[in-house]
Amino acid sequence: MIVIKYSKMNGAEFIPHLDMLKHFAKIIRRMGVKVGYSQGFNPHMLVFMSSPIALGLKTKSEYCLIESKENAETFKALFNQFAPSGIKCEECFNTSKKAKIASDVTTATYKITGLNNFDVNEILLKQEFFVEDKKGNKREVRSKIVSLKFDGANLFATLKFGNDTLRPDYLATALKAIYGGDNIDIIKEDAHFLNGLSLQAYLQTINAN
Amino acid sequence: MKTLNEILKTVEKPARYIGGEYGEPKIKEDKFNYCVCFPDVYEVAMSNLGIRIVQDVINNVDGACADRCYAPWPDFGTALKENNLPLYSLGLKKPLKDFDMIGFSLQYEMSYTTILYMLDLAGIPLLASERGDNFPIVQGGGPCACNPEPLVDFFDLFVIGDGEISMRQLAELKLKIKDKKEFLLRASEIEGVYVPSITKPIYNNNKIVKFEGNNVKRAICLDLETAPYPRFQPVGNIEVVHDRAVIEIMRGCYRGCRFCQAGFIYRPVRKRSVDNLTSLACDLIKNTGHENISMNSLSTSDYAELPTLLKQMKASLPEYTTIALPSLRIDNFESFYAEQSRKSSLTFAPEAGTQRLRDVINKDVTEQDIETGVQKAFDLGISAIKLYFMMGLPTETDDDIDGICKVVEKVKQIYSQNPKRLRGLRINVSVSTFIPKPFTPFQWEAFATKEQVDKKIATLKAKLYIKGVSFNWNDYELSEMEAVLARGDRRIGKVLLNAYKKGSYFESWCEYFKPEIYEQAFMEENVNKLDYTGAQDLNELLPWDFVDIGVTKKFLLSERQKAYNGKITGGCQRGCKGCGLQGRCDIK
Repeated sequence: MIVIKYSKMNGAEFIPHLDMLKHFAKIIRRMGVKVGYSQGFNPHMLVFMSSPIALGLKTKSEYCLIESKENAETFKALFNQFAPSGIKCEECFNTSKKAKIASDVTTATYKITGLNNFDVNEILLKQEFFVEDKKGNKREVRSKIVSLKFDGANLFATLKFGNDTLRPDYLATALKAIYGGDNIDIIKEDAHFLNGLSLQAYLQTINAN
Repeated sequence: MKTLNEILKTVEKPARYIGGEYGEPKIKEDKFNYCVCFPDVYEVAMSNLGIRIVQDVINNVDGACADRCYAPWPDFGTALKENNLPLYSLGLKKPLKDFDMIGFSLQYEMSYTTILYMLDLAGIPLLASERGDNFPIVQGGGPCACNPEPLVDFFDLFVIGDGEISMRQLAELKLKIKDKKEFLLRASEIEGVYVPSITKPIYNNNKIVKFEGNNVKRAICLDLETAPYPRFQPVGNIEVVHDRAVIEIMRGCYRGCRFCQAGFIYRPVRKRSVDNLTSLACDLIKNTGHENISMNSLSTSDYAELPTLLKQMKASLPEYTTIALPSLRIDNFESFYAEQSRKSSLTFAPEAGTQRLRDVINKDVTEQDIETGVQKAFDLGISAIKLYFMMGLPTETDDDIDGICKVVEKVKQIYSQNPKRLRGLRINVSVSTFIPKPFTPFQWEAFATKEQVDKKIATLKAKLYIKGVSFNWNDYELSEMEAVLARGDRRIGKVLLNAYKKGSYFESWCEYFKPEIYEQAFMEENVNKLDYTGAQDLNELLPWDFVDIGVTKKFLLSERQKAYNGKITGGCQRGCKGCGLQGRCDIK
């Protein structure tokens, strides 16, 4: 099996999740590599994606698992040759155990630009923190904020991901309401496996067992 | 004010507006910058083959660059307008108004106001007379350009016929001549180019008495085999209407069905060879990653070497590829055509319910053909069938409408006797209202009145209320408007402008078509719809008579007479019928 970490930027962040699946099938057919197919009347390519990301959110860290015996380096080079503009394979590994790229991703780090500088402890020391969702409902999310760090220009927010997701745009909107800011831009920098592992470390762990 | 990026986050399907598709032509600005525009939404535009060919043709001209732009859905269009952002092209993200020339694809009449909407969003004055030298030259092309008269107020020139040669010539000319006036003058000398400020109808009492200026000869690309064809086709960012690779196997149709415009305006029949098509198919499948390839033409089962082509393609294409054969005729349908695509439903178009009426329209399909055709389909295990008919055809009587129901019953009966049937049969009956189109033997005929159509629909609805049968028909007002635009003249331009200013556009989507707006527009502009929907005088000049389409008016008149005599002409394969294209056609 092959696991890839890919980015969706420069417009590609507007391609919805279901269409991404179709794109992957097309990219792989263009690459001409051998991949596994499901058995059945209408066989489909064995390609699995990590949890969907909100439409329009730029990301450097989505995962995809492909049933293929191709060499990871070759796969990565071919992928980048045949992918549409804005979709890029960043890392690629072979794995013998099936990586749970959806359920084992538990936190994600986002880079939020455009917020005015503030002391992150003001938030982190709070017991409760409220954001508003799309429908305007107030939700308490303090426990979903794992860490916050300001590097001067950008806020790096590590938030819960998976079943317990906090959307970064909700957080950014709430922070903007308190501290102010302009032209907010968010990029999903990294998605971590079980307790903060990188993709490579995670694969080493599961393949060692 | 919002930025483009902020707007994209709020609209439906923002991937329509970002470009960057895999396989999009690699372009950079050059001395002559052209933009192909398609007046419909991304998913439809991305499925159009013509604009891809035109873009390819121009990009292959030294010094020229061709970009593309599609109509934004109303949510994005409104947002662009509210935030003062101009409509931009998808490749270079360049404002439409900064191109040297923009070319609209005229595929269906109901897209006309969407052209005005695109010009408006681009900040380009709608009227050609108000554009001066600082705005792009606006050009039109495609099947509807064969009667461009309703659009002349908004366009500087049209290309009538095939674009492969004429578009290249236009680009080469524009590279040489910068001055707009001189360019238009010289352009009018190119075969297929119509400049409405040079060739003009002279009216007397709302009737055309003569044409001033030169006639326009349709551009014909006689050799498809050597004609340019893009070996890369952009793959949609989101799922598009025809999400598959497309090859055009044949242009034109042998049959000459008397209602069918395409059957006349694309003559003569031209083909690509089996080897050429196989090579194109292999390249396209490899370059797009599609798993489906469609072999397009007006009548795919009339491609004589189809069995060889299918065999060769199957041998050469990757195993996963399915081959789609659209436009199959019921009289030469072969089982193995359908086996390629693993489909569970098939579509046939008998067009009329009785043999008499099928002879009137020169459909060349017999009762026996229909029976054999569906029998073959059922033997394959097909359990759903779509049947296309028309109503409001010349000489039609109640018997012909009854005939539609009889065909449906016959199909049901054949299915019930088929030992291979697994489940209940589903029949989808689509009956559309006949619209008389220019350059057909029926170009003089009347469009049916609402009373007539309502009565026919009521009859069909009652008689087709059968288990497993569904019946669809078109909205009358929409078809009526299409009829007006199809045979419109220069007076229609102000009606279109009036309707657009009242907020009517995107009428190709029936939910955006508002008949009351047009009612009012016709009234305010003092134009009578009946002038266009009524029967036309055989002795008068028609608005499109300045176009030499290749087929002679004499031939159309003789075909019309044969229709009224109930005589069938048959297709060209059984010998030349002398339509006017002799010498440019390989049929003897």
